[in-house]
Amino acid sequence: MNNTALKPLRSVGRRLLAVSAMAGLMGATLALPGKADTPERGGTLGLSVQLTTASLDPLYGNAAGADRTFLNLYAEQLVFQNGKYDFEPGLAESWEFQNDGKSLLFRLRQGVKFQDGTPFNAAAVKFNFERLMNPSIEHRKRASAELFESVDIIDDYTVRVNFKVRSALSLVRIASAEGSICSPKAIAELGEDFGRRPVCTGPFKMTSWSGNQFIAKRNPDYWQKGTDGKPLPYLDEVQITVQPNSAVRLVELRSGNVQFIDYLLPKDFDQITKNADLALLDTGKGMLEYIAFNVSKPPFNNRDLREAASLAINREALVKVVAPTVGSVLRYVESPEEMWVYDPSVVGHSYNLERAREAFRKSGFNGEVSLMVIQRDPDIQIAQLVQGMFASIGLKMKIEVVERQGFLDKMNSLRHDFLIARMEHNVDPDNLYSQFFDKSGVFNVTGVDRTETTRLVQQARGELDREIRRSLYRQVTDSVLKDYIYSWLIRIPYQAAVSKRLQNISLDANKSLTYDKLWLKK
Amino acid sequence: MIRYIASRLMQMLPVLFLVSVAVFSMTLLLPGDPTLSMLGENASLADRVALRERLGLDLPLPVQYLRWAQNVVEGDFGRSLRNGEPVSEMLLQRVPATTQLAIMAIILAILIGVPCGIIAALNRNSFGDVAATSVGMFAMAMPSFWLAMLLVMMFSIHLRWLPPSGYVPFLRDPMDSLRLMLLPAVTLGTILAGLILRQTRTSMLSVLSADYVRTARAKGMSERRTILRHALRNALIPIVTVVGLQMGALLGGAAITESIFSIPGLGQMVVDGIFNRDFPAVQGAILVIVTSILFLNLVIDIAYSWIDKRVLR
Repeated sequence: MNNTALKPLRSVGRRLLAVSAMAGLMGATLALPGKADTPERGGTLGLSVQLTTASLDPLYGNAAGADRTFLNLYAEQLVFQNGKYDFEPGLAESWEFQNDGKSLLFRLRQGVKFQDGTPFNAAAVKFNFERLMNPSIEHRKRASAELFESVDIIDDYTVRVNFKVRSALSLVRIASAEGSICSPKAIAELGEDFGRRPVCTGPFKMTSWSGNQFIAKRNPDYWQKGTDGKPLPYLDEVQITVQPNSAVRLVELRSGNVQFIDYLLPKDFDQITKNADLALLDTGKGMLEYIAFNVSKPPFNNRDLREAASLAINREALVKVVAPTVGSVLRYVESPEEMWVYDPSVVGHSYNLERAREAFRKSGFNGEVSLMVIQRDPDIQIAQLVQGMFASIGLKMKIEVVERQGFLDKMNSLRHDFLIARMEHNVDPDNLYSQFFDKSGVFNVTGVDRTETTRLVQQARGELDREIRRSLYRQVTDSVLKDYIYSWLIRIPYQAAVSKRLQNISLDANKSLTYDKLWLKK
Repeated sequence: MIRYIASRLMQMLPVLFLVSVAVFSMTLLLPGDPTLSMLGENASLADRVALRERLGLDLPLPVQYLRWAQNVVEGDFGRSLRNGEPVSEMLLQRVPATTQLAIMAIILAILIGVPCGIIAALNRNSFGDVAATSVGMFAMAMPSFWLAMLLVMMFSIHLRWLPPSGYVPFLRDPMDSLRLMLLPAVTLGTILAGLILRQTRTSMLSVLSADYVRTARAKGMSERRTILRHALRNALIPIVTVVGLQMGALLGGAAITESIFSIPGLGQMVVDGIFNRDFPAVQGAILVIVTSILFLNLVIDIAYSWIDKRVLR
């Protein structure tokens, strides 16, 4: 093994530890009005959230962001990715890259127990990763599992995880849901029911899941200690209700029935800011609205027509109407500002009526185009505004409103002209770049040849240095903007709302709550 | 009577068979792919195809139906495609919630609608009659979503008397359960009360002018006895019909109210199931709803025969 080659990789690990320590010192918690100093113990925290989870088994969730709201209660990983996208020690006290970045050595925390009293150790880690890698288990994290090669037990509290290739995603996967370490005994004994009664090491034990209600009670044997020297968590119980209707979620918060709601609509911000007991919580997460043209068939196999359409859209006007004061123009597959890949220098498609008219004239098109949207807000509202903007250059457009599943069906079989959809940033830029610009990406629904961007995306995935990755993603962005295959529209930030009684709020990289240090002011 | 009930039960079997075929076919013919909600929209095509094969969704429709029907007869409704929960367990949680809501709402509706309808009929064209009829029409016209939000704003946010949402099974904590179910029951009950009030008033008006009522009065029978024993009993059949139909509708169609008040009921199970293409959940829930409605109809028919013996002839 070439030790010189490993030095920078080891230093990456050390840097990450240093960053995490700093984040801890600075307080990764969000500054909220009414932040009290001495944590109080006890109480039940109520949350009303928009989305449910498909399973409480970390390998069977199907929506990273939504799943994490539940997962953070009862499960933990070897490393934790915080809200600034940096890594902190979790069930592992430290880690280092080895074997030219193809292996990660973890030194595990001692004295940790699963919620069923069995010990957490290297054998448990090996069991969980081998379950992830087991091809006969039809779990939903297959794409992640492909990265893993094997797990070696060095001693009771040291393990080495080997990967098939060097990848920037290795540590990300370890910190994701699929990296959760749960009780081997419970997994073996409960079978399919493990998805409803998980047993891991987290601060709370799931005690009930009935329809849209989830209840978790304090894990008295949790390994972390609070500022008072007693075991965390501070709260006795957490109750999560899944309520898809935002108006109802808001009512639940205002009535004091819950202390946290997610996905607050911009029109409701006022109700929170004017209420002395409540506060907005900027999660840093946002809904990115975009148009995707289907270039596999007319009319949008015509580049001039795509250019005309893209330049005819006044994105500032869209922001003013759809998300006034909080929204912003979306220039590209834009990450949150605090993510290392964020690039303020990218210039997106700018509104230019003259150039749009000229491109439209050059396209020679005089028919009608059909824009497919899902039956939901604000997509329909955006579609109607775009329809008016297109009319100003003479482009006729009809709107086809489709129910979600029908939309996906039509989109995947390329039976549309163009569509409005939305996306969200994940914990690593690879998620969106590979889904949109890799030839096998599931959102690559434009019918375009992706050889060059596929190469760049895959190269970026193999690099551990964030600066190199950033420049590769920039090349992808420039290439995509030139083709007018996507037209990025607006970004609408997700705000949560909380009771000011809720203290010590901290979010993970998925922008989901972490519960271990949360407490409620009496 | 026993023969009557047995023959009605026998008639249910072909209806249930036809409903099961219709429900099964319609859910599977919906556009969209359940594997998308199972695996997430980021799943690859190969993974989705493999899952479709494993679930047997690639088999011909009649084969899928026969497999499903055989399992249902054995009491196995399958597992939810969305979260793997056995559908029978989902039903065991949701049927009591929906039944409790329906019963509370219908009792409330009867307690308001029937007396108000009788009073309105007895005082035809008086101020009370006009007021009751107008309030009844207003109640019927109110969207349940709007009324629910008004009630929550009043009783949960301003007065803070009742929780805005949630559900506790009645057997676990009866008082808490009733408290949580009060606002949803009032929401549905108010709307139904308007309907029952209108029906009671119309029914009573038609019997109050009948010869036997006039005869009862001529015989010197007290007004109270005339109304309750003679008029109301004969006016009951259309009222019972309306109550029965509404009870049936409540068992399957209170999805909006269930959703607003976070009640894990059958209506919400059907709606969620349709949006997520969770076929076993939708099929199980609809089958239970249809069966309940069929049984409810039987109960109504028995009630008819108790009210009016001529029905049995």
